[in-house]
Amino acid sequence: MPTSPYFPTYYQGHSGEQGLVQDLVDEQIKLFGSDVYYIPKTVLADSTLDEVRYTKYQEQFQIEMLLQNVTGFGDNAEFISKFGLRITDEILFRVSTRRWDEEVAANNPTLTIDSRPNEGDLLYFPITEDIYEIKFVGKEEPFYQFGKIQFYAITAELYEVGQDDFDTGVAEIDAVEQLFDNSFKLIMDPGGTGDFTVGEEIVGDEFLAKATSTLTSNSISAITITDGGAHYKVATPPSVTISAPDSLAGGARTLATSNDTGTFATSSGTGYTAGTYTTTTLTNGAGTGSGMTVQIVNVSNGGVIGSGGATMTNINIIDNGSGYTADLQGVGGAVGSIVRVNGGNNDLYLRVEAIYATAQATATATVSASGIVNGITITNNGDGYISAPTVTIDYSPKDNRAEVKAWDNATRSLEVINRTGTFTTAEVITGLTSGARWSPETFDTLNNSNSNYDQNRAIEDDADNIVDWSEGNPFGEFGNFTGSI
Amino acid sequence: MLGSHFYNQIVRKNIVAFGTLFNNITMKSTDPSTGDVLEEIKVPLAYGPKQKFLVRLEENQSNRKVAITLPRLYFEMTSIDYDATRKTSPIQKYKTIINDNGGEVRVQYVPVPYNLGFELGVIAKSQDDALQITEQILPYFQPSFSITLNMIPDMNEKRDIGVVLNNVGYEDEWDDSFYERRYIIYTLNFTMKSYLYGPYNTADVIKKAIIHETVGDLAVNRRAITRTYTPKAKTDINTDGVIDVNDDALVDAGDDFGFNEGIEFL
Repeated sequence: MPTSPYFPTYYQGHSGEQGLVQDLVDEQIKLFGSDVYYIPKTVLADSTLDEVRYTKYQEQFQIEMLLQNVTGFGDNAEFISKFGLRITDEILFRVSTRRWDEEVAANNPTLTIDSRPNEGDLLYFPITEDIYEIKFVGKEEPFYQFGKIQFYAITAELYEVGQDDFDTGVAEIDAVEQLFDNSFKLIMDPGGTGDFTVGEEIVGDEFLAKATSTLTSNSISAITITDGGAHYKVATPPSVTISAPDSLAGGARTLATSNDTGTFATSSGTGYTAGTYTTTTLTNGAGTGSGMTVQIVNVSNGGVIGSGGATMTNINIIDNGSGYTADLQGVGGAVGSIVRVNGGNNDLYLRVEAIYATAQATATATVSASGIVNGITITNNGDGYISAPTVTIDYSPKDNRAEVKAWDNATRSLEVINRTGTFTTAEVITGLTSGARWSPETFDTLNNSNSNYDQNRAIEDDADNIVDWSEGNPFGEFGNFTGSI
Repeated sequence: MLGSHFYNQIVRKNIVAFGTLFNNITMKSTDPSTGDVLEEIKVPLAYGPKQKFLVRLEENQSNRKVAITLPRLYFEMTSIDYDATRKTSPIQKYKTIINDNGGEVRVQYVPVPYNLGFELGVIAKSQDDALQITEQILPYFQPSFSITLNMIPDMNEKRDIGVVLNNVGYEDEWDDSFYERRYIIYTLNFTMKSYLYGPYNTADVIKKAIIHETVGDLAVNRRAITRTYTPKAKTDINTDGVIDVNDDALVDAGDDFGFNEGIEFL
């Protein structure tokens, strides 16, 4: 027999009552709660052992939660284990189901279960400045008041630091990585350039492929691989970037003496000496040319450049300027830009004969089965180059990367976290944001500068006069390739 | 009663030597799909037993706190036991010369064999992390791995010490309540077959050796010889222009010398 729709039971509820209770819950949490950051995790998982291999925290959502209870703060939650200090502070939060939907679920977070907080995700509690890992989310306690769940009960314990990457964009959250992640220090060789910035990614060039370009008639005619690099992947060849033409769009490429049929027909001037001269645009066609600077290399014929037409090999363009149009009157074409070279007695007029096109050259790379870049194909020769552009091949997947924790230019000291390998003193480390370039002089991977637990370096130093490794240490030498041990 | 103060720090040296086997273990987190290394760290290692106030002061300096950083290695000495199977004659002595002191040598009785028990612990956030660390250790112990320790530098005394892996245990607390954290801990038990040394003393250099030889029956046809050996100088030590017995008397242990041999028929 169905229950009566006119007298709803406690567990069925009525939408009006449900809304009222939800309002009261939300109000209580807003009045007495705290703004807590909810931090979802993105995991790379091993499907066989079904466990997380690497975790990234790249999102955060601020939402009010009510601190229901704390366990451990101030009593025996801190203790010495065999593995050093352990802290087991535990915290219980309540969060409104409706507010969860509004603040988190509605913003499409990366969650395994969208409809509620997920176990394994983190909470940042600004009061204690600590991060907590959610152990359990109770979603049916109390049990369906008026037929609906009004809040979740989140039990969380202090976060255990592992090989996790924090990039939430909130400095105080991301700082946990800077404070506690395994870090080590490099001392750089003098002579580097630029300053690394905290948080930026750096990369070494140990396995980087290199190439140079050849220029013919302002375009790339060939690319020569000077170093094939190593450990590239056939399926995902590196990108190749050719630097942009070094002229401005619309800059003058070539000049000729004016053969204007009107006012500026006189094509030679007098009173010039070898030197650099500004120009003034006299006609411009449809252009807006300006900014050209020319150099008169030498003069002849009593100060007259050429006779009846200047010898253009005596004039170089120093600054291409921009906005010019080609003057094609002499060949029956459109009126373009004619400039006067300032500074003579009788003016020298020059016509802009051609304009720089600014097509950037492009190319693609191929990789051999052994992981070496063995070919670069030019897909666009480009145009407008004056000098051979630089060819930059993307870094090898094996090139060591890390994140900057601290940089001191005075002591050339670089502290890094999240490193993917061990740098060598032969390579140049580049900051991908700052562009800083320095080469390591010495480094010490045994000394975790972020922890007072680690004794790797102290034990190594103590053992120097105790253990006779004259026959070699099979466990490896030794965290520093620069001979400090 | 037992003698003057000495402290060779032998146990400490064994602790350091044991620790240095495991202070350069690397752990890499890789992308399961591509195999690319995402992060590489040197696994933190520490000698476990510590003074409690130091732990509190050293490891909890920041206003901010975390439960623990993982993975970690710890080790500690768990036992010191006499090993009768390696016992040698207690009256044997080692001798070594003292630089710039030709008149004395250092003398020390042979050491006493002791087995030092060690425990190495691995704690990690995931099973794969723990296995990655453990598998970098186990193959070197078959079940023993020998290292050479400079036990008594003043005596030039170096010993090959066998480090024997006795057993490996692990616990993975993955079941039970959601309110309990998962712990993955591997425990490796080792025995270092070491030695404890007594004090060393100085003794005068022996500069004269006397050998009494008797050939034949004691009562019949017995022939007895006394041989004496003393150092013979090869350089003019007293710089008097000649190499003679006066130089012989000045020879010390650090010189290049020959021998004077004397034979007396008795």
